[in-house]
Amino acid sequence: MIAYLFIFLGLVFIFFGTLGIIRFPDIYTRLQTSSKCDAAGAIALLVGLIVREGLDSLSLKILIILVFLLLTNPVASHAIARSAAIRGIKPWRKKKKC
Amino acid sequence: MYKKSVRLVLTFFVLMSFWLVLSQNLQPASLLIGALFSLLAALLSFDFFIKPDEGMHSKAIRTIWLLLIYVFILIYEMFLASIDVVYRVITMDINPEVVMIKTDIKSDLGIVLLANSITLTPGTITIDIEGDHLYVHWLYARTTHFGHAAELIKGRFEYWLGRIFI
Amino acid sequence: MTAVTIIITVLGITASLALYRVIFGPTPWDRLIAVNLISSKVVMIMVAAAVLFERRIYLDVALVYAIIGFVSIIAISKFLEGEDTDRK
Repeated sequence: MIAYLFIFLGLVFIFFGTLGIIRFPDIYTRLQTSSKCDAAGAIALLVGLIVREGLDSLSLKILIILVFLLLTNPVASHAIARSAAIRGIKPWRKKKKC
Repeated sequence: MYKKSVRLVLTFFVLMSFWLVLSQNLQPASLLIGALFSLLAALLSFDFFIKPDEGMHSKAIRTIWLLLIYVFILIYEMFLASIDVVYRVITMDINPEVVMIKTDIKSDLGIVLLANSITLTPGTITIDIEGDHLYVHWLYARTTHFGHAAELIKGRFEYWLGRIFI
Repeated sequence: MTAVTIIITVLGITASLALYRVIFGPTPWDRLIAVNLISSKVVMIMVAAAVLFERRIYLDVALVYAIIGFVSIIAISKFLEGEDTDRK
């Protein structure tokens, strides 16, 4: 039961993270949802799968995949943001009410 | 400052434990092949797996405990930040700004971990690093003041990382 | 069986939502972000299938796929960065 609760939480995070990619206006804001919601969703989903499986050799491998995803996700976001910044993409700003 | 042989043996054990987890059999042939290739890879890569002048404290056990505590704090903060981002996705209430903050951590590994934590947590991503200045894109900027923004963004991560790395 | 179907269907639907950004994204970096997201979705689908169908071999495939996806994202973003490497 706890396992399915975690899995449901992860699916909600992943769904809204993808929705944010479609709704937000520019690269950096899209990168925000893609890095944060994706990492949190991955943690919740894979922890739910580990709880459902129980502690054995298979869940140890899932733990390795989880650590790998957590290490690489911010690095990939950082690389994309840095290359966009070097090529001179300006961040989107809210229009001030005057 | 670590000796060469200590670094080599440590790298070998890390690689060998990875081999044991990934291959998952204990027959002698498999163990022999794993040990051989772990030794080969350790000889090639121990020099940049553990740097000779890595700015860690000398007590390894204490460092590992602090890292575990840090990971749990990070996961908790990450869930809070994700709920915040989901709220902003639904309402589209955003105010993005790029701010520059300064960090006090000196070691390279510490700065990398700080940048990754900033990317994962409170609605911010690190865009670029110059020395000890970090350019940070903030999804909902509450302030653009230099010191105040740094206080809000770094939060308690810098305190914990400062206890782990110098 | 139903839980498996629901999990894999939701992950597949989100991956195809991200496909919208791959096709219509105005700049190359938008497409890159969407491709990164799809690749992590595929890894999660493989892990879910490995646990729920009891196929252990999928986990190794997922690990290798995650590594290849990460390296390709880094390589493509370095390529898009261009030639002005004097900015250091």
